[in-house]
Amino acid sequence: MSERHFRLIMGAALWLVLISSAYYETMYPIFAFAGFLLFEGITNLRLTKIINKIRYGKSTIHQEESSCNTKWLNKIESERVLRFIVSGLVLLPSYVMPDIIWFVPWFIASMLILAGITNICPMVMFLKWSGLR
Amino acid sequence: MDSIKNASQNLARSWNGSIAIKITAVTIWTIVVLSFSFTVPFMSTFEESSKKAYTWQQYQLIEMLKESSEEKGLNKQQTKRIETLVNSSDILFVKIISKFDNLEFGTKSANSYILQSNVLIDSNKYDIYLEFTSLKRAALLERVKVGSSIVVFSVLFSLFLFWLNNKIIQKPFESIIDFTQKVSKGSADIRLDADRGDEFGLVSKFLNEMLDTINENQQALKIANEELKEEIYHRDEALAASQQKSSFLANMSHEIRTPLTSIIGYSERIRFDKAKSRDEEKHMLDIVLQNGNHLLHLINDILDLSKVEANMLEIEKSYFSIIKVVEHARRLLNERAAEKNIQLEVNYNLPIPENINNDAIRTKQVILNLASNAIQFTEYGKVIIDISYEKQNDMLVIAIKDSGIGMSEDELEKLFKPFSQADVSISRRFGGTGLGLTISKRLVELMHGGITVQSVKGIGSCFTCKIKAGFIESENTLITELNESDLVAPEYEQPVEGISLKGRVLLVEDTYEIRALVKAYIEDYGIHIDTAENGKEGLELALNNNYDLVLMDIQMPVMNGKQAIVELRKHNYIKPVIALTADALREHATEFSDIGFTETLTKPIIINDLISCIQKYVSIVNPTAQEYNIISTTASFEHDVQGTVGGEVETTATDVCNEIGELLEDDLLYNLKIKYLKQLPDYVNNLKQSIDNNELHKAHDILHQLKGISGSLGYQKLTDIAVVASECLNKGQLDEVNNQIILMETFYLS
Repeated sequence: MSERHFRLIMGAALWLVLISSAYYETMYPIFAFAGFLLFEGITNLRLTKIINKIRYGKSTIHQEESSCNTKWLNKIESERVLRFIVSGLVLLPSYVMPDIIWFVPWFIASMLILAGITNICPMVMFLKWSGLR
Repeated sequence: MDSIKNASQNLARSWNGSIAIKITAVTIWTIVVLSFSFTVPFMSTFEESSKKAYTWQQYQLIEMLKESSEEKGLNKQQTKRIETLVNSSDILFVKIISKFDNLEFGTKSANSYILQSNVLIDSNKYDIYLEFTSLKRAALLERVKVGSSIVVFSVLFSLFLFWLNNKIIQKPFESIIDFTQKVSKGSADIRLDADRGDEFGLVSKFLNEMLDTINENQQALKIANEELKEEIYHRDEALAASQQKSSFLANMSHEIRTPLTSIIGYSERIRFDKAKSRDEEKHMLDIVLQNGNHLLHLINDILDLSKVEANMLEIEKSYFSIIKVVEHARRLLNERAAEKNIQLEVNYNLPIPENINNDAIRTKQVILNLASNAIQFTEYGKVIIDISYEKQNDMLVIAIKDSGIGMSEDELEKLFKPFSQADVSISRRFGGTGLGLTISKRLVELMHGGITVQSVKGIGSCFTCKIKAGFIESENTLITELNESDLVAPEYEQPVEGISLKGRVLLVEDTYEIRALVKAYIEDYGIHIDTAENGKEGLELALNNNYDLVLMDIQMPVMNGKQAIVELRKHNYIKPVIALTADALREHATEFSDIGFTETLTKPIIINDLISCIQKYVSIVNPTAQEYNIISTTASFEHDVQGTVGGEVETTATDVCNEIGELLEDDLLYNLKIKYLKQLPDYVNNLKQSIDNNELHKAHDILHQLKGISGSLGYQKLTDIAVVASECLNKGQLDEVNNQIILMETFYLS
């Protein structure tokens, strides 16, 4: 399972979470979603890695090793940071200006789905450009 | 495609993705951002207006409650309570159900939910249905609608856009990538479909043109490369040939200088009276003559070789007796073999054809070359010439075996190459130029045959050459038995000794030494000779004098021999004119014959050839001459026999014949007559041919011969016919000449 597939699933899941949250007027699905992403980001026990390890016995997600680069930034994976950002942006409208930035989770959901379809994730590209691994 | 897929999968790391995907992604991002940008403000406005409407509806509900409560039976307290409820929550619709009545206040809404409550008012039980319309929920649901719509739309649109870009952009690009990949791997025949009207069509068209140009350039380059290779090969060949020729020239220089040294050296000694005795002088002159002949032979070989290289060597086919040719060659080789104490044998493996239809001179040349080589490279033992005939292939087989030094396999390989001998040291030890075999091989090939060689080093060699016999059963016979008398070669080259000739000869030659030499030769035989130094002088002398024969050089100042003969024949000069030329090429001999020369003699002039030629046109005075020399024209017959046409002949041919017969033995005269009769048809046929080809001077020569010989042998009738024909020919009466020819035919047929 590649990160591309994970983004697609994540986007669709977020979409369903948002619908159910709005329909049932509860924040719990959103919290669960954000919590799951935070867990992955903090522990780096990413679903993709676990599945690939089960299937292939090792992690097939290519990680660019930059042995020459000793910057601390380069040691952090952009996928992990992406999870932090996504979870943060999903939770943010719940507490800050909900009437104004209510669309952010929907935007995130659509971008995640598109990233899954096109395999182009601007956020990850930006993070890599910034120096993350 | 794999490379594209791999590239697409790495897009998270870089921007090097598929163009279609990039376009799709950018478009969809733009659409999503724009969608949210437009819908969020719209949603705010919508919520604001919804809130206002909702507030107004609440107000209206409360007013409605206030106004209608008394009518509906609600007291003020109940109304106040309901009003509090409405104000405290988002209630837009109140329905009160009592046992007495159903009261409804407000506006039902689609986005509402009902809260049922039992309100006890004044100990009366009322069921109150309150419809709550949550603005927050409504807003949420609206937001869900908008967000979901955007997500769904963006996903569907992205898929559609992806498909469209794939069709319009990706596939043409993939075809171009596939095309360039195949071209880079070497496929030059594929072409792109250039029917599209867009930029891809143009790119395809130009790529196709580019590939065509590249292919053309590559072809041109290939051709240029091949031409260059060929030129290099030719250059290398030329260099090799040049080197060979240089070594040949060096070899030739030795071969030419060696006899020249002897010729010059011994000539000087004789010139300055260094000979101690007459015998020594004769010996020196023999050496000079021998080396001169060797030099001539060498030059002939070089000329033949140049013809071989220029593919100009030709053969002239005619019927000849192979036995006579072989015996003649044997006689020429006997002396050389005897000098080296080598036995020379000739074996005839019968049956063999009586006559062979091929080139007699070249056949003899080949036999002489091969046998000379065999004798040259044999120090002791024997040389055997085997003659046999293969009937099934119609090939005459001439095998020359020797017990000489032999050759190894490597030496055999370069045997037939010009300018090379089997071993360079051989040429120093045994002499020779290495040309004979090359020339012989080419001659045999021209005679529709071939040469093979077997050899064992130190034991000997066997050269086998086969030539086409041209045997036709109806016209030829096979010899099954040979007698001693058959093995006698004609005396072609016996020295012409003991004869006297009578006549007048004009010699036109610009070189003083040759004039003096030829004059001395001819005067020894009793002929009166006049000389001229150039063609113009010769022309005047010939026209103003009555010569029996004119000997004319070709290369002369003022007027050359060709111009002179043309002028002579223009003046109806019909006497024989012999060309003396150093040009040995056969086609020039044909050219001389065509312009009017009777015969051609090549320089250096061989005395025997010269006298043999002259005696055909002058009188032979000495009756004891050999058989061949008696059969000749007697131009002087007209001088000795006083007479004209018509019988005013004082001395008849019979008288002359009788006179000759008294001097000869009867048998010899009889044989002469028989031989002449056998040759008579040939004379008549040649005469007819000359008349048909309008070669009048040739016809005159033949008639001249017929007159002389017929007269000498006593055939008076034939002599008269020849005289009449000659006179008619001089007058140009060709019909009458033909009639006389018929009379001649009648004569020998009878």
